[in-house]
Amino acid sequence: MKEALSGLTVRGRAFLAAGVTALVCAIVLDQPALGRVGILVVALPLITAWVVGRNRYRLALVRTVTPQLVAAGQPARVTLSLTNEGRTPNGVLLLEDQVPYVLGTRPRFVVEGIGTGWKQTVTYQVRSDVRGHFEIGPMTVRVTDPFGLVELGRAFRTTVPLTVTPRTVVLPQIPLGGAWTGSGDNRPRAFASGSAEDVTVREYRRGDDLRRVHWRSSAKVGELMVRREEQPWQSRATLFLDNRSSAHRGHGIASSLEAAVSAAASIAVHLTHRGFAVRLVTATGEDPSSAWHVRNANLNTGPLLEALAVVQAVPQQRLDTAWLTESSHGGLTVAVFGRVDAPDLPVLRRMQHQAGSAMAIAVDADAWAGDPPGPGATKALAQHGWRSVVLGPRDRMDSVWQELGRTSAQSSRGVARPREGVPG
Amino acid sequence: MSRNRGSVAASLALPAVAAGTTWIAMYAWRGFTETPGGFLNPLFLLAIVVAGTGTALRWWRTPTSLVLGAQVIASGVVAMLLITGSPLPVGDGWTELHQALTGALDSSRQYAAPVPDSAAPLDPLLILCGLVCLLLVDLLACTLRRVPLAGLPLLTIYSIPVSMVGDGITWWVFAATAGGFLVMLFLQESDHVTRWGRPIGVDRETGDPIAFGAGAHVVRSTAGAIGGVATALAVFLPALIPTAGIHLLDFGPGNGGGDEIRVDNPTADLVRDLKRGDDTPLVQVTTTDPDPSYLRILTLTRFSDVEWSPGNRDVPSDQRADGLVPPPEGVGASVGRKEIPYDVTVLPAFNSSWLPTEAPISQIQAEGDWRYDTKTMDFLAVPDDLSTSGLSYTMTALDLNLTSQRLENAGTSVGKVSEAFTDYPADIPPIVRELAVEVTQGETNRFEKAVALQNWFRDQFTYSLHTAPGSGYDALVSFLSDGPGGRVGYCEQFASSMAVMARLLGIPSRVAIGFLHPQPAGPDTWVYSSDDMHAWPELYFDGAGWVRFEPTPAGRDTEVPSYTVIDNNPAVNPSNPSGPSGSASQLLPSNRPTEERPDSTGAAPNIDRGNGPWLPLGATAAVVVVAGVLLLLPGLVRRRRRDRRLATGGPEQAWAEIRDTAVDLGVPWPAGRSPRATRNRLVDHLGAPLGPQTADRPAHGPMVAPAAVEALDRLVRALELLRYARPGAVADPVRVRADAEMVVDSLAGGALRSARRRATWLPRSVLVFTLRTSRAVPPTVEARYGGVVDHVN
Repeated sequence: MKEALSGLTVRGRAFLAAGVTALVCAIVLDQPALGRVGILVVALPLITAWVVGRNRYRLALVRTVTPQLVAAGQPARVTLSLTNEGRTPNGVLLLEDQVPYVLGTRPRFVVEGIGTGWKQTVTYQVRSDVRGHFEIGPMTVRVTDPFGLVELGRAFRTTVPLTVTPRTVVLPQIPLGGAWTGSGDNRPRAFASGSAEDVTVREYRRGDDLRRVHWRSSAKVGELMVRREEQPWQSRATLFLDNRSSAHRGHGIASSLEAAVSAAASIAVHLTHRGFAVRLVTATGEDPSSAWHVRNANLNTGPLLEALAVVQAVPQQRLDTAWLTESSHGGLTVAVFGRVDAPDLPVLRRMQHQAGSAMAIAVDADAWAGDPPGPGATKALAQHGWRSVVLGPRDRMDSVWQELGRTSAQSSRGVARPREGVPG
Repeated sequence: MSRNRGSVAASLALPAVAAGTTWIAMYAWRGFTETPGGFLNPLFLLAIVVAGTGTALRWWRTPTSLVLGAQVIASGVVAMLLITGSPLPVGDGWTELHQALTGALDSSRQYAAPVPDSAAPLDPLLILCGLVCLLLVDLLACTLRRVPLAGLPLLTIYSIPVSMVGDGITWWVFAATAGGFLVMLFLQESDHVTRWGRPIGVDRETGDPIAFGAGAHVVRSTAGAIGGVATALAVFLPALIPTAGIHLLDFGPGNGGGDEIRVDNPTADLVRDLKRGDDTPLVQVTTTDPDPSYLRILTLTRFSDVEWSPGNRDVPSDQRADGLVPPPEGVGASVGRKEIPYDVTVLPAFNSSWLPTEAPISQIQAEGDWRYDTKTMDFLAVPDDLSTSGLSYTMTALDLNLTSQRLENAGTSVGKVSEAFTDYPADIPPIVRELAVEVTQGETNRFEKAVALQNWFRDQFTYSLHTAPGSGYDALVSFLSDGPGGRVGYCEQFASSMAVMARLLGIPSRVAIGFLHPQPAGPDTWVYSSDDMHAWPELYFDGAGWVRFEPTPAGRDTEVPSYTVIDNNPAVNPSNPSGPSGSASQLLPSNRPTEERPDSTGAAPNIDRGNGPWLPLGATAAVVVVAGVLLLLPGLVRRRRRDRRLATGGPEQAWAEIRDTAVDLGVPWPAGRSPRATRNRLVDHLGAPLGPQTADRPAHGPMVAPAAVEALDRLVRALELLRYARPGAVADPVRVRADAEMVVDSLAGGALRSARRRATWLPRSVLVFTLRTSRAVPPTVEARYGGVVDHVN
């Protein structure tokens, strides 16, 4: 009752004030007809507050989002399953899901007259053109009465995460330079069975062939272990993304960083599907969640895309170089650069030096600020031994990637050609 | 059409209810004319026009201003047709409309409500006012969707007659209007809610609904319950509002508000002033009259079922207290009369909106807008701030030479005076009439009957101020009856009782309020003080006018008027029905053109402070009953709860019952412990089952009540099985119930007598709401399978 009284709406408070005034006037002026109106107007919010305060409903909400990882522009479906475990609420419940605005309008539901045990499932779609990590929920509940005099605010607590990954494009197969690239189809080789020294093991998973159980390791670990199919020295790729704000131009969805992230995401998906174990490195260093893990391709893309989904521009000036350790020596490095300044050149050199094959996409950041298309950082990159192409605001990622492949056909120290088909 | 628009029926509901409510509210105006159908029927048609055009235009999404404009034009044309017969206010139509309105305005100015059919009808005016209200309500409620604001025009409709027609508005008009307003609120709110949420539909991919659909009947019934209770309270509660006690009747300046003239009823103050210890000088007169007395302040003309009240006054502006006044009503030309000049100075302490005068007078000169009604000849302050305080004025009193003989020969007064002086409620207790007839048995004419009545009061009654103040029939009957406490009273009771009985005998009567005897304060100077306040009846006899009687016994230092002493010699000629001399009475038709001067005290007859002992008694009884119910309620709730829980036979319910019993008895109940831990604490408080020989401080502990301990153990076991074991084990409900009852009984048996009493009358488990048992809720499917279940309550 107390809470319900404090939950009186403006209308309820106005009624109460008007009614009290009318009552006082009725008493002072001796006008029982006015007193009648006063009593009606006073009684209405008070009785309503009492009735609403007596509500003993109990709602249980289960919320699921499918899929939890969705590409920008693709819809995800939120399913709400609502159960009333208490008594029938005697007012109207106004439910509003707190969905971030970029995901679309907040769905609102009206629930009234639900009995004990009532249960219903509803779904709605969310869709975002902006990558990122979003929390859907919590659901807020407003309890109102039939006359709009009292309104109580309640809220569920749980939220579900939804990760909107950058848009990706399917990239064409291009020759990737590097220590292990022998054929055009750079598939990691299955290793020959029998050499026990090479054996690495992993936990037994359902469906594994019993013949592959590695008994010696199983005895040691105490769990069933199986031999790995894959090469222990599988192809590793480092995907570098320069996300310094100084390297990019523009804001929000139309910034050059978004183009870089999208390009990086496409490359990440492409490399993973070609069998590479890809780790993501940004200007702030290696992302621990996307470090080299041995997983299959579909499992591997998820963390990469999630990491790319939340990449934000960082204000720092220098590129972090802590990840350029000896252990990461060799392998393929694909980098997506923005503007490259003089202090970055030593880092470029070191990266190129450590990489078995250093390929770069130079995002022409200035073009996003309205400047005419230029070569971007390709010149500086080429000077430091990178194979690079420029990505302008109007370029298609897959054709740029194709071009990068053609560049790779030249010597690794070659200079990027002026591209065709790009309007000046 | 589009989905948001909803069905025609839904969009028609609010305008229809709004128009209907407005129309019903206008039933409050019935009292204005004698044939209310004259304006109600056209207004019904107009309500349909306003609601119909409004709905249609809103349906087509016309801009607000256009909707209002079209409504005004459409309803204006219809109104013109109804009033004048021509659709447009041009040419003849305009002249006719102008005439109709002028006539209506004149009628409203000249006639008191209800305006008779013979006068120019008030209907055009009422129709136009009603149309404006209809348009306003429709604009606010439907076009602008601000239903609460639409309450203001409705309130205006409702309150106009309160200030104009004396009678209040019947409760059902109020209830219907309130109900309509609440329905409007509900409709708007549910429409708002419907717009707020998602429309009902089905997801294309999964087939899941995209909105929670559920019945609205619960909300509707909630709305009905809330609105019904509020309306019922509003209808019945005003009788209990203590309106009295704040306003000071005629001893306070300007109590009224607005344009109305407040007709104060001074009877209650009469009692108070008579009982008051200090004797405040109020009026000083200088006169040559050797024995001035009976200075009248006002007359009470209307006898309703409860009390005498001043009634209505017709005070046109030409009836001012600034010179000669008409000769006294009904006094024959042959009656000898003597003029006595008075100089009156009202002392500042006397603050009245009525001017004290002698009755009758021939001339008066007072400053300020004092006006009189020719029927009553009492003087009323028209401006609100005008009062007698400090006023000096002169008047010339008429001393009529009335004799008993002349009065005995008075003819019939039928048709000579206004009906207001002969009216009495139809439901006067028959005992009053019987008494009047009995007392006047054997008397042959009206005057003798009146004298017999006066003498009966003087002989059989006792004067005392120390009587229970009363009003209504009960007070009247108890005053007249010969029982204990009966036939004792003060002047006002005597005066009003005699006036009532006189009316029952067919003699026009009224009650005069004023001063009795002044104290001499110098040569030819007299002072009336508050102790001199008095009331007396005035009876009308054709040819003699209004004649004063004095039923109040001599204990009040009164003496009968000389003309009421009848020497019983039969020389009089009682059988002369025609009055002596041409009756010069100026009889006026009741609907004589006047300004409306309403009586506002009549609206609250039940609630007057001094005169209603029965109502306070009733209120007290109601309070006692309510208090009793409130006292009994917790115990009743507790018993019902116990019965319900034990009837289910579930261990959880039994456990909850045991917990509540422990809480009621003040036995500590550990919070958040397992049943077994609780049981270990509880056994110390178990006692022998409750019986007549249970001591005030009974022994308790596990040794005292082994059977109860066993029962408690069984209960705990059943509870543990229910809570922690695999589903399937079902406790025997009968067993559980028996065990629970035994434990509850044993707990009571081990408690102090005071704790038991408290548990019976004021069970803490009922009074403290935080102890409310939370219902055992079955887990949802998602919870069982590890999903995240969120709760809100």
